[in-house]
Amino acid sequence: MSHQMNLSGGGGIGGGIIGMGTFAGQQGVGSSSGMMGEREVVRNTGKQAIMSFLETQTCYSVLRASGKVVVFDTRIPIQLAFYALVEHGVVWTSDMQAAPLWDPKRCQFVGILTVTDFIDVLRYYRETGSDVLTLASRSIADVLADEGILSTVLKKNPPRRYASKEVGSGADQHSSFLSVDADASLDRACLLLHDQTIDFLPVMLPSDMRVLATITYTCVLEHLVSNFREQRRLFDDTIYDLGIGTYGEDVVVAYIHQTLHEVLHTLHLHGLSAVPVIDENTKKIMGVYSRSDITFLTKASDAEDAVSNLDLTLDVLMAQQRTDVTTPDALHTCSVRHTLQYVFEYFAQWKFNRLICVDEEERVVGVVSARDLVAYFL
Amino acid sequence: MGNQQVNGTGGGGTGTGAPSSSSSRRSGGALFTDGGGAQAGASSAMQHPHHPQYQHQQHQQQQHQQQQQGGVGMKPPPGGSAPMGYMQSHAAQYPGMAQQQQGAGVGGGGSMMMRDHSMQDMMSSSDRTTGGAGQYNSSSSNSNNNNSMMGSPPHPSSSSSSVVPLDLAALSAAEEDSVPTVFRWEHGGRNVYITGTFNGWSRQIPMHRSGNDFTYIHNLKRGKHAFKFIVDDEWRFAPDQPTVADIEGRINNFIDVTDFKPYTGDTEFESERHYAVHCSRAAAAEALKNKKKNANNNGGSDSGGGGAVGSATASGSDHDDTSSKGSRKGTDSSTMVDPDGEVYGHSMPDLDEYTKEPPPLPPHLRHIILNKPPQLTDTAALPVPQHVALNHLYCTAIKDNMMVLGITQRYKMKSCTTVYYSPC
Repeated sequence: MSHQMNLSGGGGIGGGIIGMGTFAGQQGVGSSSGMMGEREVVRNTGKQAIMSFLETQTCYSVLRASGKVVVFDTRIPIQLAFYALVEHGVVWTSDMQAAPLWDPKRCQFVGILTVTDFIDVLRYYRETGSDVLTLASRSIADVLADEGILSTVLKKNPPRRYASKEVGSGADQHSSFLSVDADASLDRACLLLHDQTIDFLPVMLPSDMRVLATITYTCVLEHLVSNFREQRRLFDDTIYDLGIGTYGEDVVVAYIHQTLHEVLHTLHLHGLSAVPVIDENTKKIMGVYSRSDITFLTKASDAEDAVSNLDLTLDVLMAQQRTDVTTPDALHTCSVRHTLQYVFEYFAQWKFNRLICVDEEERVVGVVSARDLVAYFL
Repeated sequence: MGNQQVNGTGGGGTGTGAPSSSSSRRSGGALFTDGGGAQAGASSAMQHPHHPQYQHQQHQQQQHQQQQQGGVGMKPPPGGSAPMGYMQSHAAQYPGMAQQQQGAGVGGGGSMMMRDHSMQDMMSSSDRTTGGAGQYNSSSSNSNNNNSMMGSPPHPSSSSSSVVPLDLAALSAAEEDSVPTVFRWEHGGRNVYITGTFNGWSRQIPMHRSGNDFTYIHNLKRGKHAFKFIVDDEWRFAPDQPTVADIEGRINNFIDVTDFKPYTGDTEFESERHYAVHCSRAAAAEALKNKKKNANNNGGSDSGGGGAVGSATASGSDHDDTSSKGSRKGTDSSTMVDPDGEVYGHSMPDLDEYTKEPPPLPPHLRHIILNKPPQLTDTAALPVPQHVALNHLYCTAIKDNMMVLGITQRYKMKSCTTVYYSPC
């Protein structure tokens, strides 16, 4: 809040609070620099303001006034853990999709379990043709330490997601659980999220073995937006011009008649959390499929059924999705011409995880995720 | 649904809630999620046996009642399976959370303590055993020596004075194999019924009111009998009488009249009595010791002994306090010292002391933020807890060998509720 006051105080371009040292050389600060230069300065001012905001804020500031953290003992069956996550409402928000794992023998947190981990495990069972009914009796520790599962479907950063059981030196064992102190700066948290390419970062109490929350890009973005909504002038460049998001050839899409298994595999290959779904013929956007969508699981009657549901096509699945609640993973669209300010406003309203950038004919031209938005300021 | 189960004479409620049944799970889920067809279906999918969270809500009410009773409210024997309700305890006070929780149910209400103390003022050595069966601990079985001191023949199994086989000659004329037994309910209520194995749980027999108590006399066959009271349509067991948990963990009272000996004459009675007096001498000496030791602790015993949320361990020490206190009171009025240096007395405790209800659960502890319906937009957000609710441990019934504990703690100005899923 105080920061915001400073900014508005600074007001104009020549205002004293701008990081002169950094930008003076690049564009020549001054009202005489011409249209383009002025714009650049404003842009950099906004970026700089947010950067220093992130540096001064702590992770504590993004915590809820009263929040809930679900922690799993690694000895409980992974299937029950999954249902526990569902019961806690992961269906709608991404925040509860991650639960820290506690190893009672080592008396420490050893990793994070997400809904997508469970989906990955099911994919593994489908690929290997193993009897999925055995899954019911397997504990979290058992499954996540399974070399076969790790190497096929969870190989994306297994050490960070789950510290496997090897007995190493005690010192770096603890560090295998990636977390951030509540008193650390938001800046540091964002860099961790970004550099480690993770989606969930547990916030720990500095003095205690307690996880206070898991933060995501969406949390950070929410905090930013609530503090910078009023700074209109700073963010009136379009997201495309700012280079926020992924555009053109790099955009990965899925087709409405692809099977779930194919799509999940695609997502896994590209390390994506969601993909726009388009119609093969018209190329129009039909929706978004997110890795964390568990509709196919919750419609299943048992684990075997869930695995066979992996062969359903997207159009069938998307017809089953709930429409009465707007999830952060629902389809939200924008255009390349929308400004950052607009996106902020839109986020404040909808708390989306990503925007699909479309043209006039509703064809996908890009994807802007919460992560892209935060990463822009890092 | 929850209510039904609570008040319900026990049967229905969760019993019907086959774990995977969509409807029952739905009700649980709905409390958290405010419903939605897909979600409900979701929950029932895959026949996941039971989600603990579901029980938070469902048994919430039951829990309250249990707390008020000061005991682990159990489902009644015939039909119905009652998981332990959702209990609360002062986690800070009892660090060993889970175990203490179970103890809490046992330690039970103030009335139990009082009851003990009334008998303990001579005996002092209580062989309170807390026999745990599953998640429930059985309640204490009191010292056996009371009866002898009170002038009735010592009886190894009629451990609580509340259930005393009659030794009247008139009644001994009954069948050789039957033991006339008085059942007694001393915990209030308007309409009290009793049922048990002696009638195959087939009928609820009204008990006779006398003062605040209710009694019923039945000719029991030799052997062990389980029984339970129905107090104003609520199944209860008497915390001051021996208890036993059945296979499903429900707690019933029980009595063992296998070795009952009818009163046959003064000679035998005297010899028995002499033996009993001898046995209790050491105990009496210890009572004196305790009295001195605890003399300055008595202030604390008042609050400690009466808490509805007690724990087995806590009640153990409180118990000593109260007993010694009672003992001292007894000394003032009507105790005697016999030639052997033995101290005993015959002062009756006030009726109120052991007939009153235990204090109710503090109302603010009923606001369990984990049981509040979640916000649709942010399911990880909870209502801001009242400060009095911080550091209290909440737990669900154990299901599928999984226990769920919840505790709310504060960090600076924000609070964080940790929900911990662990095997048991």
